Amino acid sequence: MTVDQDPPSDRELLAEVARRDRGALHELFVRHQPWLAARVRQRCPDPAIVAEVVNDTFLVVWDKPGSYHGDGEVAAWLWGIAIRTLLHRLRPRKSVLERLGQLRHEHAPSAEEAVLLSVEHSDVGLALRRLSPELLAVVQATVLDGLSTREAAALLGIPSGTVKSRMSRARAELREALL
Amino acid sequence: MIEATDLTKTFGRTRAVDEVTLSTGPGVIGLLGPNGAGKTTLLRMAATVLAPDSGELRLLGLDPTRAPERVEIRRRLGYLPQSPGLYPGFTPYDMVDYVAVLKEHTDRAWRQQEARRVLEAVELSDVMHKKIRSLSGGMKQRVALACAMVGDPDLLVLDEPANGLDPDQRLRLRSLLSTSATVLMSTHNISEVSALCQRVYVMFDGRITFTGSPADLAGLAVGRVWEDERQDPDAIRSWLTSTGTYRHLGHPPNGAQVVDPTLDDGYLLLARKEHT
Amino acid sequence: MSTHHTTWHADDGDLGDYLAGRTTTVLAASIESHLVSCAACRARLGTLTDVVERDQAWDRLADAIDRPSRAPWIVRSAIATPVMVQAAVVAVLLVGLVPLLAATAWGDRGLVTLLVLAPLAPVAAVALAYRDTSDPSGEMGLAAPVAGLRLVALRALLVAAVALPIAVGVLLGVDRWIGDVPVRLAFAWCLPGLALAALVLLAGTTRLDPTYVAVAASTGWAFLIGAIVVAERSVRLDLFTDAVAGPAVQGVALAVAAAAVTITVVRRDAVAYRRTT
Repeated sequence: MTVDQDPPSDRELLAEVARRDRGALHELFVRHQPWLAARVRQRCPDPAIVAEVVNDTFLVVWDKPGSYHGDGEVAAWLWGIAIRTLLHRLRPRKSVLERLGQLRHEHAPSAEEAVLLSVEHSDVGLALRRLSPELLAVVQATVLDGLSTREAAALLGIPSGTVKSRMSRARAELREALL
Repeated sequence: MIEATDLTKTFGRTRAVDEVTLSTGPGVIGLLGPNGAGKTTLLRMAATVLAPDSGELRLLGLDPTRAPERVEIRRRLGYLPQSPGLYPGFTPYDMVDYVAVLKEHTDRAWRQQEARRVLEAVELSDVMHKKIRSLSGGMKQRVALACAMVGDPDLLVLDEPANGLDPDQRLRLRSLLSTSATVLMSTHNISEVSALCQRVYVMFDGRITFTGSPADLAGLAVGRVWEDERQDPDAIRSWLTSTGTYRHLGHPPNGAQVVDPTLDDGYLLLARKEHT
Repeated sequence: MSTHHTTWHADDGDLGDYLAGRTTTVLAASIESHLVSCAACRARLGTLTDVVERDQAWDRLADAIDRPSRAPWIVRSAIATPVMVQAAVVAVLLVGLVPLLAATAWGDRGLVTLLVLAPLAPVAAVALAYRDTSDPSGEMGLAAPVAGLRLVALRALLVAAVALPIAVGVLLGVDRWIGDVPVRLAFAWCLPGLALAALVLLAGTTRLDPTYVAVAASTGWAFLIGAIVVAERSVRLDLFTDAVAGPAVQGVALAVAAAAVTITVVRRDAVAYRRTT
């Protein structure tokens, strides 16, 4: 094995995983397991479920590395798998149709997400803090976690229509607070 | 651990192993000789894969010609043949697991743990799930070595184990082999003997012609090696060294610059004796 | 790829708070969004987490990845590779299809062909089991405690277990759709097949190559059938059946089978040594 000057990128590691390199999987694990576990824990406090979700996420990486299509960060792809794994763990799906829609969502950073990057001390941050918890939860699920309306509805246990209406209310309130 | 007395094996009209007597204890014992010297045949007998035609053989104190004792020997034996014949469609992990199954290890959890142990020992942890056909020659050799080491055998019989390994890996092989087990390994490469073995048997045409430590083998040529700027036609052998001088083997003339012998010198002298 | 690039990075204090669950939703969202595109901050988060926990998580993952085969170990020692299974299935199919075609094309004569070929299924099974390529561990396997007759017998049995139903199925199919197959004829081949297979098994304990012995035995059997046909001067099925299913042929077959198997068991150690000379 040749030794490169720079450590391998996530994509390179993933390419090696596709060639069944166990060491590459371990390296990816070391890099990403800590933040993935932390982020899942923020949404579900049960440590057993968190461990299971993270484990299943990396099993998908090992079994289906080809489902990463090369667009966007590997980390984003990993989170997409993790959050959907969590969703299906908490709210097991019943319909086959939902199962079919499973791995086809890409997590593309949206405009809202771009804004959220340095939100703490900005006006947007202050504006967000003024949203009610229900509106904030919807924003988190759809904007930050990249879930579809249907998925967000499943996760939060509310009808899709409610998700949509809360999203528009959140947008309206944010716009008002910023202008 | 291995006691052989007048062991003989004949194929057609050739005596591949000709009344070989050897006795070893724990440690790494090297079997050195050219191709066709009978090393592989002798190793096969030591691995209970071939029955001797005559002579006595005891492995780990047991008699391999008796079926129940042979099975017991095999439980404590690890064998690396000259052509390991690894199945290309398996991964190293599958291969080691399969060998563990053949060695009657029925506990799945133990096999998983052992597979990881031996594959880590030969530094193949990263590639343990790649198909063997996609691995390099040196890696394949290490897979075969890992298979031989399954179950931590008391007797390891290795036919040219350093084949395909680079010097770095060979060094690691040395530490791998330095257990309390008995290791009988063959090679036609003299540097492997000095790197790996504590005792060496030299074999020519089915017979053992030397027994001793590597230092003893070199010692055979004490006072028989000299260097000169020019070639000496009276020498048994002479060759150009990397420093530009000629190194000679034989009876040094008066005033010649006699030098300390190396393992090669001792071996060459021995080989020369065999062919005169 | 993100079009934004910010110089804001989460500091260790924030990361620590985040890990402890002490941050507000908004700050958490901010950190999380940042981590997705910043490897450096991910690495720093890694240094703040418990390594032991991470290693335990890895062990759990490794257990799932390093999966020993679930097949019972006795089956695995007998049929470990797709190649072995394929070879067996191909041989068996040939044995099944050829007589079927023959029976369709030639009627009664076809049934004779069937009788010639059906016993070869078990013969093929044993010969296949002896092949050097049958063992994925090559010469290493010869030094294993399980080596020898047990392994060969196991493999032969497993292949035969596939071959037999197919052969019987072919016979029944021919009977149903093509012509009448007398019941005695349908099973008259069993004992001869067993005898031939046992001979091949015995050959494995000698220096003879079992493949050649299998071919010789098959040819011998074909000649025997041919001789019976000639002796009866025609292919009248009932007379033919009487001859083959009669006590003479069947009795001899049983005796040969029993003797061959017994001698093989007595000489079972020779199997372990045979393949390396």
